Amino acid sequence: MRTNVNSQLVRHLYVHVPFCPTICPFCSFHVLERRGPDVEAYLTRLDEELAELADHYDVRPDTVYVGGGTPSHLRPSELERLHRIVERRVGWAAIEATLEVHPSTASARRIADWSSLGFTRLSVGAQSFDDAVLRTLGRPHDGDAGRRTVEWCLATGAVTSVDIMTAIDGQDLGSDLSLAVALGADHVSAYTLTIEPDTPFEAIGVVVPDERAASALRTACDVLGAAGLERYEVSNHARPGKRCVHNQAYWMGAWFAGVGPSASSMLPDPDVPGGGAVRSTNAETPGWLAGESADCGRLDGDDLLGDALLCGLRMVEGVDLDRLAVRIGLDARIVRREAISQLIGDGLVELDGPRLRATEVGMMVLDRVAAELL
Amino acid sequence: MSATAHTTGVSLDACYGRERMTQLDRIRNLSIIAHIDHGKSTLADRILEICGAVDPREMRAQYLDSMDLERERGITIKLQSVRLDYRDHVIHLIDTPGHVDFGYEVSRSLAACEGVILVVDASQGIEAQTLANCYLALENDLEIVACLNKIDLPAAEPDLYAAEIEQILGIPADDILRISAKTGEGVAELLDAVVERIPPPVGEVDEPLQALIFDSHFDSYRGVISSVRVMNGQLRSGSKLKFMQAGVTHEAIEVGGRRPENTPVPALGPGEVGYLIAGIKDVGEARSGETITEAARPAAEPLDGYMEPKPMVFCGLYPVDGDAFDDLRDALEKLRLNDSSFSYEPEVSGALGFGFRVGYLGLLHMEIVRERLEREFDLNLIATAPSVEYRLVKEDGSEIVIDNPSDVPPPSEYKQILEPYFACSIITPSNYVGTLMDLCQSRRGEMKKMDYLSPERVELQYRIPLAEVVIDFFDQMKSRTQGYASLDYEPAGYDASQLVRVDILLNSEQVDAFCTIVHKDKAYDYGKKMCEKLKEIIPRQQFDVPIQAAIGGRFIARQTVKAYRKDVTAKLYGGDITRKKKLLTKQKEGKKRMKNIGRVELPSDAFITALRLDD
Repeated sequence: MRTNVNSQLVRHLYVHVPFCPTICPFCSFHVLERRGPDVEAYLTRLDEELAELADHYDVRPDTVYVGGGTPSHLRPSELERLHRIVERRVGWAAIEATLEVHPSTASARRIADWSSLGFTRLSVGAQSFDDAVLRTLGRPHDGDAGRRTVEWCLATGAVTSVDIMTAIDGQDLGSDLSLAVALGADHVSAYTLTIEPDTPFEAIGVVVPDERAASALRTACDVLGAAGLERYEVSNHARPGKRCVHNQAYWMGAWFAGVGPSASSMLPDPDVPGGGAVRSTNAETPGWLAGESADCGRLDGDDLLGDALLCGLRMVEGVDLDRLAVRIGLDARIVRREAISQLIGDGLVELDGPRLRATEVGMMVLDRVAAELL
Repeated sequence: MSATAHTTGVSLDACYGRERMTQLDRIRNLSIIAHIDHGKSTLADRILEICGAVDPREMRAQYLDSMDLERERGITIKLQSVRLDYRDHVIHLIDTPGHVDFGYEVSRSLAACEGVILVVDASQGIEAQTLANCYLALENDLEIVACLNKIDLPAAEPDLYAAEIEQILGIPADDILRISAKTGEGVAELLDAVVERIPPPVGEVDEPLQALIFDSHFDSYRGVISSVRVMNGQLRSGSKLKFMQAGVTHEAIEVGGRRPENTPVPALGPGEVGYLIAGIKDVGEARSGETITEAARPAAEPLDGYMEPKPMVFCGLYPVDGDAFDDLRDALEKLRLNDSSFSYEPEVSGALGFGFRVGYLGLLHMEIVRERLEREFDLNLIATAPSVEYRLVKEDGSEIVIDNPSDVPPPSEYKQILEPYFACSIITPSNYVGTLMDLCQSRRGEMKKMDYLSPERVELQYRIPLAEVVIDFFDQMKSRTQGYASLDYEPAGYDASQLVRVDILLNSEQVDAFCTIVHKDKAYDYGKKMCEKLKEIIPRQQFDVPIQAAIGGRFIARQTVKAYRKDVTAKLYGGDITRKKKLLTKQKEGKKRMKNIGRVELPSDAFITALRLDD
C-alpha cells in the first residue's frame, strides 16, 4: 500500500543496464563485462528499487529509456524480465520507449523481438561506418554490422536513431553522416569525441584539436540539415516529429527517475511541498546491489535556475524565461541580469520575446556561456 | 612546560633566575653555514636528536624548516634558533638561510654568534656562496669549525676537499672533521669540537641591558615574537623595555628559550639566545637589528646595527581582485615584520589598477614574498616583470632614479641611462668554464679574473649588469653545469648602457605592467621571444588577441592567440548535469584567478612564467 506518495507526477523513467560486451577506450561510464549471476542479482535489485520508487512517488511514465552500458547485450529472456518488472511496478511507457542497441549484439530477429516487446525507439551505437575509424575507437564491430543494424531497426517501424562519433583523426565525417541519412535514419546524434579523464584514450594522450571539433559540429549541421534532419540540440538532429521525447524532458527540466547502478534522478523534494528538488545519483554496481542509498543533493531555486539554463540553452529553441519563472519562482532576467546582458553584448545569446537562446556562435561555446549563468 | 627530555646537561630550572642564569663559559652560540643540499638541515636534525631536544617519535625531517614553503623548496628562509644541552654546556644553534638572495639574513644570524660550523659536501667541495659567508664570519671574528659531510657517499673525496678548504680558508686540513649527518657518524665529535673551539660569549650581567633582535615574526595570537640575543645585563620577564632605534617602550610579557618549543623563563642573561613576547602589534617596532634595553636603566648606546638590506630587484604586485588592495597593504605590513628585507610603496598601473612596487633582494626572494603573500594571507596577486633601479641622467646633468620601466620617458628627454652592475663570483668544476663564459658573455658580462682553486676547480669573476643576472641567470648556470657551479654576487656600481624600453601590446592596447628595459642589441630578440611566450601562456579568448612588441612606437614582433572555436559538452543528459555543473563551477573559480587587461583574461603569473621560460 502506498503511503506518503508525493503528489507530483513523474513521467520519465531511465533504466541503467551496466553490462557491456567489451569496454570502449573512450568511455568513462561505469560498466561491467557481463557474468550470468550478476544479471540475476541486477534484475532482482532493480525490481526492489522500482518498488521503493513507486512507494514514494507517483510514477506513470510517458517515456522509458533503457540505456547503459549495453542493454541490448542482455539475453532476450532477461530483457523481457526487465520489461515485465517495469510494467508491473510503474507501467510501461505511454509515448516512447527507447532501447540502446549495440551493433555487435543485434540480429534481425532480436531487433524484431525488441520491437514487439514494446520498444518504439531504437538508438543504434554505430559511431561510424568506416572500419578503420571503428578500429581506432576500439569497437568490436565493423561498418557493415552498423549498417545492417540500422536497416533492421528501420524495418520494424521503430523510430531509429544513429549515434555517430565525430572529430576522429582520419574520419570522413561527411560520408558517415550521409550514409546514416541514406539508410533512412529518423534521428542522428553526432557526438564530438571527448577525451574523458581516466579513460585509455586519455592515458595514451589522444587529443581532439579545437579546430577539428568545431568543423565537425558545422559539418553535422550542414550535412544533416540539408537532408531534412534539423538540429534541435547541440548534438541531436531529427526529421520533423522524430525528436527524442525522453531526452527533451531532461533539457526542459522535467522530473525524472533513474533506476539501476549509477543512475541519476531529479525528483520533487518530499520535505518541501510545492517546491524544491532533489538530485540523486545511485551507487556504482557493487554498492547498488548491496542496497546502498543514493547520493542526494537538494536544489534550491537558484540551483534549479542554473540547471535550467545549463540544459535549456542546449536546445535550439532555448528557454522560455516566463515559463521558467512560473515553474521555479525566479526570473533569470532579474537574477542573472548582468551575465545575460554581457552575453548578449558578446553575441553569444539572444532574447526573442521571453525566449533566451544561444546564437550560432554561442552554441559552439555553450560551456562558457553556461558557466557565466551558473 | 618543558616539552623535551634532557638526556645530558644542566636542568633548565637550575640555570635561570638572577643567580641561576647560565654561566657565560658554558654557552656556545653558533650558526651552520652550508650550501643548499650540502646537508645543513639533516645535520641540524641529528644535533637536535643527540642533544635530546626532540623526542625521536616526534622527529620530522628538517625540523627547523618549519615554513611549508621551506620544506617544499628544500631551503631555509626564516631564521630559527634552538637551545640545546650538550655535556654541561648550552648550545644555541641559530639557523641561517642557504640562498644567495638571503645574505642579509645570514649577516643577522652571524651577529648573534661566536662561531660557525662550516658544512661542505665531501663529494662536491666548497661553493661560492658558502665561501662568501665564511669570509663574512671571518670578518666578524667568528671561529669556524669546518666539517666535510656525506662521507658515507661512494663519491666522497674528503682528502681532496679538505686540502681545498685549507688552501682557500687557511683552516688546517687536519682540523676538518669528517661526518655523515645521515648516519650520525662523527656528529658527536663535531659537537665536542664546537664546545672546545668556539669561544664562549662575553658580557656583563650587571651592566644595563643590551639585547639584539635578530628575527621577528608575527603570531596572530601573541603578537610579535622576536628572537633575541642578550649581550649585557638581563632580559627579565615583566620588565619595561625600551626599543632604542624605534624609540618605543613595551613590557616584556614573556621571555624564554626555544627547546625547540618556546619555554618561558624568568630572565635571559648575557650570551643567551631566546625569544621575547612584548605584546607588540605595530609591525614597525620590532625590526631585526633593533637594540632592546631596560626603560628604568637604559644602556648608553645601542649595539652596532646591521647593514640595512638594499632591495635590488623590483616588481609591481597587484591584487587580481581590485577590491583587495587594502588586504594586500595589510599583508605586506605583516609580512615585513618577518622579513624586513623587502620594501614596498603604492603605485598605480593603467592596466592593473592600484598595487605596490615591491623591492626584493633577488629573484628567489621575489617569488617567495609573492608566494607567502598568497598562501599566508589568501590573496590572488599578479606580478609584473622584474626590473632593477635605473638612473636617468638629464641634459642638465640632474639624475632621476627609476625602478619601474614604464616610468622611463622617451629618449629625447634624457641624455643617458645608467644601470646597476654586480660583481659575480662563480665557482665551478673546470670542465664547465667554457659554457659559463658563454653564458656570462651573452649576459653582457665582463671577465675580471679567473683563478684555479685546485686543478679541478675554478673561480670566475665577472662584472655583469644586474638586469641580466636577476632574470634566469642562476637557473641557466645550474642547468649548464649539472648543478655543480655556485654563485655569489655583490653590488658593483652603475654604468651607462645603450638601453631601450620595449612595450608589449595586448589587443592593441599597451600594457604598462609588461614594459621592460632591454639592451638595444637584444631588444628585437627579446620582443620576438616575449610575444611567442605570451602566445603560449595566454589562454584562448572569445576573440583573436594580437600580441605585439614595440620600441618607441615601432612594432618589432607580433603573434596572435586565436579565439577558441569550440567549447561545448557533446553529451549532457540526466546523469551528467551534476558533474558538469561542478566542472563549470571549478572553471569559473579558475577564471577568478585571471586578471582582465582590457578585455583579455590573463593568468596572474603570466609575466613571471614568460620570463622563466626564457631560452
